[in-house]
Amino acid sequence: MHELPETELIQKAQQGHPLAFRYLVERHQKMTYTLAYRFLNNADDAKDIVQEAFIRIWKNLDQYKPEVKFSTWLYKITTNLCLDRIKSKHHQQQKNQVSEDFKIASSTTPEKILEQEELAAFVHHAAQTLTPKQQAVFILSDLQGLSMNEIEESLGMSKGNIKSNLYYARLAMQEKIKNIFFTPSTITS
Amino acid sequence: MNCKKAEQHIILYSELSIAEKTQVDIHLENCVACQRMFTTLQQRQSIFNNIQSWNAAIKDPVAFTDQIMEALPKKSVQAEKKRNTFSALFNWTPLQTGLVACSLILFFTFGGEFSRHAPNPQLQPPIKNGIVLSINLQDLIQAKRERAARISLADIIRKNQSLALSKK
Repeated sequence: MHELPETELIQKAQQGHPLAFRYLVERHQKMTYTLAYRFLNNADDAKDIVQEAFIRIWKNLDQYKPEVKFSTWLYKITTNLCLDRIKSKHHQQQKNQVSEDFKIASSTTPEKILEQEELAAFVHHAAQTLTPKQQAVFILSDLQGLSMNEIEESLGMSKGNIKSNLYYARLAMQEKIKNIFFTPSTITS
Repeated sequence: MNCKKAEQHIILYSELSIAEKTQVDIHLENCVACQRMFTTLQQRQSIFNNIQSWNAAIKDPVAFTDQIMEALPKKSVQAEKKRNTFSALFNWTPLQTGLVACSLILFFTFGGEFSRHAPNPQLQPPIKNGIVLSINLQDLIQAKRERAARISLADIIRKNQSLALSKK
């Protein structure tokens, strides 16, 4: 069953086969976890979101429309859950903590953060200072590599709205990147 | 295209249409300042693209999958099959629903007209001045018995006649 095409796995899962659903979870949990982690920058929160997203999928499998990619549907649910979490008061407190971390990250040397892991961590921290909409558009477009149509389906926003948010998000993010990677000391060295 | 417009387009360069990209490219050929800005912004943008391949590592993926599966609300395969069969039975399109409704209306309106048996006058309710009177169940049973008796008497007469003929 593991090698079955995704559509067949979904059909079997819709009939209530837990094993088929398990294979879907195995295929998509890494991508879903990465997406949630990019939003929340916290492993436990990201795990909570992934679990909640798959529970929602399981409960609403009969509403799945085959014309939409399963991953796009999963992106949509995960993104909405992340945005809800970000908006919650609890996460607001964590965000204040993140801005402290960001100051620490800014003080590190470029050599130290050249590692992809650290670079990702830095960008994720920096993205948390954006507005939720800007953050969602920036993560889906520039960090997850989704097309404009996929973002449109995932966020339910118009292309114009997406472009506008992406414009301001990139401006802000490039400004932060400039401070780290393009300081006068790095240019002279 | 002026430099301000070009700057806006440069930031969203990857999202531009071919026509828009051509316009920007033409401007860049003639504007050194915008060209420099384009190179810088593209370099910074590449940093974001570099971490597209980065995946957050789940410490124990199998255990995490188990955790997700255990958290799922239970629904048995049998119950789901029943639910699907039921929903498939009544998951009609508006056309199907209309057809079924029309069939039912026709059946209840004209159903009696299509009866194959001729009506038995003895079993019909008594009508007086066009008004249908109530039927007494005892009368109905009695009428049935009398009819059966008449049929059997006719059979006996017919048999006797055939016997007499054979003796002759």
